[in-house]
Amino acid sequence: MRCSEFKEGAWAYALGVLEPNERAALDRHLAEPIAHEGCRAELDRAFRTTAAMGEMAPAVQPPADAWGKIEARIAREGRANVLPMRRRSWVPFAAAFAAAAAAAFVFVLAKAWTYRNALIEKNEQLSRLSGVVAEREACRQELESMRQSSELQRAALALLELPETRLVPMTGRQPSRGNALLNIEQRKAMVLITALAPAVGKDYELWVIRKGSAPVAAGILKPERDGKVIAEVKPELLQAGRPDIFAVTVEPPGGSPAPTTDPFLIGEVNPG
Amino acid sequence: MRRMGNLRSSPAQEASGADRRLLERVIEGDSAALRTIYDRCSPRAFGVSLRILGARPDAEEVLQETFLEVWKRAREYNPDRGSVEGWVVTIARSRSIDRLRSRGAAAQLSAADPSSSMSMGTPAPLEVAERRQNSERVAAALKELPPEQRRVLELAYFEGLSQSEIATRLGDPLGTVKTRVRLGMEKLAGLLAEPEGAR
Repeated sequence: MRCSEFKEGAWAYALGVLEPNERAALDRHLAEPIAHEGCRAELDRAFRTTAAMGEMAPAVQPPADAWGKIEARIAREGRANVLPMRRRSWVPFAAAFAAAAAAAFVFVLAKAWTYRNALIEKNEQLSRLSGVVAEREACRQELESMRQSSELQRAALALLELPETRLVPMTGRQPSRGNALLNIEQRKAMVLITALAPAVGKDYELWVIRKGSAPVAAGILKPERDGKVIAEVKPELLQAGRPDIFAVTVEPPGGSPAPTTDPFLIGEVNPG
Repeated sequence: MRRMGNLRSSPAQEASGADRRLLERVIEGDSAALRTIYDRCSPRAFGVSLRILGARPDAEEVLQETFLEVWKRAREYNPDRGSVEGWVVTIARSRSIDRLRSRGAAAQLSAADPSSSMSMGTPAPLEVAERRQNSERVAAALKELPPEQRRVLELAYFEGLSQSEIATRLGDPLGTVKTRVRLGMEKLAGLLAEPEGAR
């Protein structure tokens, strides 16, 4: 078999539609110690394509007890690297008593030591009191930010579930990427962006653009520590109808009334 | 062939770094990591099994077998051949087809449960949006295939028929079926490799 023949057959191989003898012939060719002309790469490409075909079937949530059954089977059938439980050894009564007495003595000593440490800690806490107030405020702000982020996540999921919501892929400067979710019937839009580098001395600004009109500022994007950002577009910015473009630019702190740099990320709304 | 053992040296792949770290934890015996993969991948794997087998009890059995296999064979995952979700779905498809053949019940095939809901395991909107985008992309690519090519790919993927069996089923010459499989797959691969918005 020549490499060109192998590469023709690789697609059927990956899809699993070959007869056993045909499959064996391809296996033999792949194992041949020759200078292959991209045979393995073509086979990998075919496998990737086959793997993507799973998207043809709708995703269906399995029953709630399915994971429990899998866990039970793992526990039953397991793997060699799961450590066996330690066997309990028998301890003669006298030895056990002696061990208990020793343990009690150690316990009392430990308690006294803990009490002493607690006193020291209390003193230190008093001296740190002023710092604690600032820490508490920072903590409150962080919790508030988490609450807002969680609300935005829920809003994004709800928007995604609406059948008429369109996904507008936003691409541009790698590795940042994202999607705008647009539901023009309900005048709702959100952007979900990932891998956004922290903005130092600058801000990311979102723009809603209609062809023939000036870009409209739609807010500053503040990425989380993990580079993700979810933001909602104000409904009034969608009153004029479907936007043509969502874009993100890098602007001076606080944003600009008009973009001052080329788009960092851009997503064009398909007119269809 | 690249395996989990030398993942760090592999080129950019569909599998994300987070996925790879999860599989490394599964190799170490961490069932919580397997649970995370389950949450992420089980709806698609279950959907494929249900489409192939038609019956929920069978699809549930296959789902168990699939994740047991992921648990035991995590080391064999090859990122050159697609994402972790693609790998899990491929296992689910293979086990479903094995079961279909073993019960000799091609006649029992039915369409996917129409009441089944499109639902995702992990409520992270960024992931959900990316998955939906991916699904739409594959659906759009499939729509661009000529109907006769799409038909042979569906028969192969969801019914596990060989090229000879497809030829018999459709009453077409074997050579024609082989050509349609190859052209259909090549075109699909090309469409899926195109950057967004290129079509």
